[in-house]
Amino acid sequence: MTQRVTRRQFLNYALMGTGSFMVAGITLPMARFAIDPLFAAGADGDFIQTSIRMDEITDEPVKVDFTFEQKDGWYESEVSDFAWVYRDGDNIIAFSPVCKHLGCTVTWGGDTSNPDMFFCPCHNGYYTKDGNNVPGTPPRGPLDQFEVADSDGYLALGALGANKLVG
Amino acid sequence: MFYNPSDLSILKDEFEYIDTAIIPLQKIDMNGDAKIHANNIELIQMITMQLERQFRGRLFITPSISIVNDDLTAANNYREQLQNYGFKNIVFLCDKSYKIEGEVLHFNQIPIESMSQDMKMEMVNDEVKTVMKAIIQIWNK
Ligand code: FES
Repeated sequence: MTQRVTRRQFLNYALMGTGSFMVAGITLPMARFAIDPLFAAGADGDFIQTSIRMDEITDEPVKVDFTFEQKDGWYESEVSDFAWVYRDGDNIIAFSPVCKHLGCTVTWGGDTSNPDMFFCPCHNGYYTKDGNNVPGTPPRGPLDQFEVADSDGYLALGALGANKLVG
Repeated sequence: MFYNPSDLSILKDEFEYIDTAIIPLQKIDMNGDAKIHANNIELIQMITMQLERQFRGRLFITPSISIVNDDLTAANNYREQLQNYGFKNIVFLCDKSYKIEGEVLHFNQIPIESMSQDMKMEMVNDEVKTVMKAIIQIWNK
């Protein structure tokens, strides 16, 4: 699969809203696996500009949507995706919402009784704000992190790599 | 997970986690309702793509079963196969016109062909949210 950003464009709608989906009463055994191999999101060096201004970003994680064109064989399509973005002092942090267990979408504060965590509704996975997976819950590693850049005052997202905030 | 070679391997290795199968149903009759059916087929594709993105780690979304003359034999046979495979929840995904037994997730027949892209996404996302809530309810049972 190759992915190339051919258009600097953004979406104005949030893909799923920030609905809180609660799941109760499921306990699954903790998995004993190594961290998945990393994968790259944007093609090397390409940054995608988003619609959020750098100075709008606060310490509360928000969804930031972006789109890019994906070429898969003969087929080219516009893919929309999003990142969880917040400010940590001088740094802007942008995480992939893809759960490092089996790939569901995680939501900040999605479990209302743990409002300061990322939550995965599929098997009750938890991550702390720095993206670190909470031991004893199914995720097998920390959330992946995007490269970030300032593009004329707007946030731009680059390649997806390993989480840099935790080990 | 979808019915493709790499997801099928994951399904096998992680079956304890992927406990819910979704079987989309699509009518393909060449009758006066053909355009409605075609619209619903596109709608199903959009809904299942979103479901996959949100719940990939726990859902197995099968290829859609094409229904002709309201004959649900294939759908019921397939459900039985999935039952024997060991899925805990097996759920049909279809519009409200089907008379089918078992667990069913319904979506509204939105006429998406006449809509702008933004409007379409908004309406489809609303349907997806409803379906997601219904799935979570099934999980919480
Ligand atoms: S996919 Fe299993 S906890 Fe997220």
